[in-house]
Amino acid sequence: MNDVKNSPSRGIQSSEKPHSTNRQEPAAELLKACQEGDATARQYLYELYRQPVFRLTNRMVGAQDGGDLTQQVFLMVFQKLDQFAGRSQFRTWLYRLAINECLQHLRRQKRVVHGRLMHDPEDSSANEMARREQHELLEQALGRLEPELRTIFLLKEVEKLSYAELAETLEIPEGTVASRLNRARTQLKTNLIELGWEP
Amino acid sequence: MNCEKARELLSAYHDGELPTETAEQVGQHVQQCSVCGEKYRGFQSLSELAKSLSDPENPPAWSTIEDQLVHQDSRTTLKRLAPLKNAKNWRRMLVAAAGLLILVITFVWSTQDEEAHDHGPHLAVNFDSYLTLFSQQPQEAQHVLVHHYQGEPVSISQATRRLPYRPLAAIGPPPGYEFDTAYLLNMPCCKCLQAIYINADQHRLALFEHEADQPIWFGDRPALLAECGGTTCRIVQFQSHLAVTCPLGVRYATIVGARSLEEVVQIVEHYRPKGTSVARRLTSRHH
Repeated sequence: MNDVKNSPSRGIQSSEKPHSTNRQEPAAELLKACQEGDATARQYLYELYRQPVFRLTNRMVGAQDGGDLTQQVFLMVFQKLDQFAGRSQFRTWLYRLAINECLQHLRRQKRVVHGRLMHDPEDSSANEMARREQHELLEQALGRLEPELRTIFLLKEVEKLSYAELAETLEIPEGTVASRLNRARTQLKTNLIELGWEP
Repeated sequence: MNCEKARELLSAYHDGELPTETAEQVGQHVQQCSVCGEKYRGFQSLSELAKSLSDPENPPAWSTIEDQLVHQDSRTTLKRLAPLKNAKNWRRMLVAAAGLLILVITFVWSTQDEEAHDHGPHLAVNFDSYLTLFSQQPQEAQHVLVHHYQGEPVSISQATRRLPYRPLAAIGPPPGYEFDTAYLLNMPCCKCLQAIYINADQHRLALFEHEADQPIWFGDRPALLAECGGTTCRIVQFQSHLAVTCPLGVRYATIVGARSLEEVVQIVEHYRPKGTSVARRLTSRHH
């Protein structure tokens, strides 16, 4: 039974602050409190990691479904947290759940995300290019990328995972990480150039 | 290093994942080879471009997750409770139980009011010991409470005279049970009457009457909230039994030792005020 005055979530709350780009691992006592169903601890864990998960799901499945999928991922996190044995990092375990959910969602939807320009070629004009923000172009080019390649690019370039973390998250050898990133970058660059990007 | 090898290593080089010696070899190659150099600069440009991605706005609020967790957790809780019941279908059983309608099922957690800050940890530990020992070693379980809270054995009539209200125990034992013993306990919340009942199978049931809700007694056990008419019951499982707390009249009752949800319903129904006359009776001093 928990000692009320020394409940894990209380101690953690006083010593840490959530941050949207938090790369730190959650304290073991926070995870334990979450496993035991401590509502405050669960909320705190959510606040710590909701932004990276939301960012990833948005880019993987689009803004329309990103929020729903984020909810789904965290429900799964709290449901499966007692299976998290601490052999891997919590962050990579969380990303793995999120990626699996995203890929399943995409398979279910059988949705092919096309860049806007595939349907609207005149957008590639010089004037249009000058007007459009670079990041919009990248979003479109990412949308054209195979989900597997989009995943690894986002995890590397946005979430800043190391190769070891990528290997752990995607459950692939580090050598495969390197070759898959090569493919992702090469394909993404091709997509961007097709959209009018000039490196 | 040839182009094929350099391109194979280009991402790892760009990401700083190569050993120093290999990285130097790739670095030299991309400086000398215009094709590989251009490819490498393309990777650099992509990384710069990726920095332009801004965070999407409005991630789901915690409340939306929490609402769904309530449903998710309640399903888990019901699964845990299910083996306790004699009936095959708990839903049918609950529907059959007159007046009981489960409206809200949620996990509830210990609250930390002022009283709990002062006494919470000891109280939680003591009550946990009590619940742990209740089934197998009832005398030891009782000793925990008597020892820590200066338990004084009393008859129901004695308790009725000494308490500033007519206790629920004066209504009589729940169906199928007989009165065994009663204690007045100096609990942190109040002077608490504990009546112990026993049935033909020598199964014990304890009824505690207290002034305020005492969620701390159940520690961090997952709890089921059920509404019984106007009475909200909090039910927890301990070992193979159930404990339930609910307001009855203007006070609270905690019943420990029920063997099924059906029995919880029967007991609550037995003690639930039947109309205003009962409520008035419970709140008025007995002379």
